[in-house]
Amino acid sequence: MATKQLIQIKVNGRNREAMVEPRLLLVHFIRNIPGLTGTHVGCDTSHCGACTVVLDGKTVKSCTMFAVQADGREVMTVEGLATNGALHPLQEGFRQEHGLQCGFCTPGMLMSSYVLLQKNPSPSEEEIRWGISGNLCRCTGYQNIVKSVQFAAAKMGQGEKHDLPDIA
Amino acid sequence: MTCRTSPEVGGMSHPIKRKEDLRFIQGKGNYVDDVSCPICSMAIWCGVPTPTRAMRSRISPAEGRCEAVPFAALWPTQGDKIG
Repeated sequence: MATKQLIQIKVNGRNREAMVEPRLLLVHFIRNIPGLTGTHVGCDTSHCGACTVVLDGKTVKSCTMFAVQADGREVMTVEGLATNGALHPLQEGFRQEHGLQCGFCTPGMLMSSYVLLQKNPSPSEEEIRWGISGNLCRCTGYQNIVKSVQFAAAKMGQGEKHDLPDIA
Repeated sequence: MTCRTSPEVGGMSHPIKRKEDLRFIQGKGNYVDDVSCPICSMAIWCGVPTPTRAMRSRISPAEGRCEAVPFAALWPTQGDKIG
């Protein structure tokens, strides 16, 4: 067994310390140490994006990153989006525009969209689709996810909501 | 089909906005992989006909028939906060 080492990661603004094996994946650190199970393990191969979190302002797929690589850095997960019980505009968008069904990919979608809107407050439909292209959804067909991100961009006062055709 | 009721009344032919489960957009969904019960050695899944049910009693090894510590879960959900 490899020697454990002490790491400290700031998760959603709160420092979390733990002795971990170097092989421990970041997603397992997030799920097991602070117990934040909103970050999901979908494919374990970096394809699906369900494990997407924000690391120092950039999206990473936490199932293909070791926790020790995040030592001393700051992580934001889906649990950190809402503030004081108020939903983030993206969460509100996913709710209003029905950007989810089973909800498994949703945390990853939210985090990718969060960084997208940080970088590009007024993305076009194509830019949104590129922005979430690392996240797979097997329920919605993406249409309502795109509308949800547009809703958030509009609500944040940083963009216009574009009309997309309704789907059943 | 012609609507025979007002939108306020609702009913047949009036579209109903789907209510989303708020847990899913806040990372509070409870999927199988999220169940954590280190002392459990077996699981019992109970299907229920409605989405909101609560466990009224627990199965304990002391009550017999089972030496292992069971984990019992209701499916689909308990105490949902759909809205």
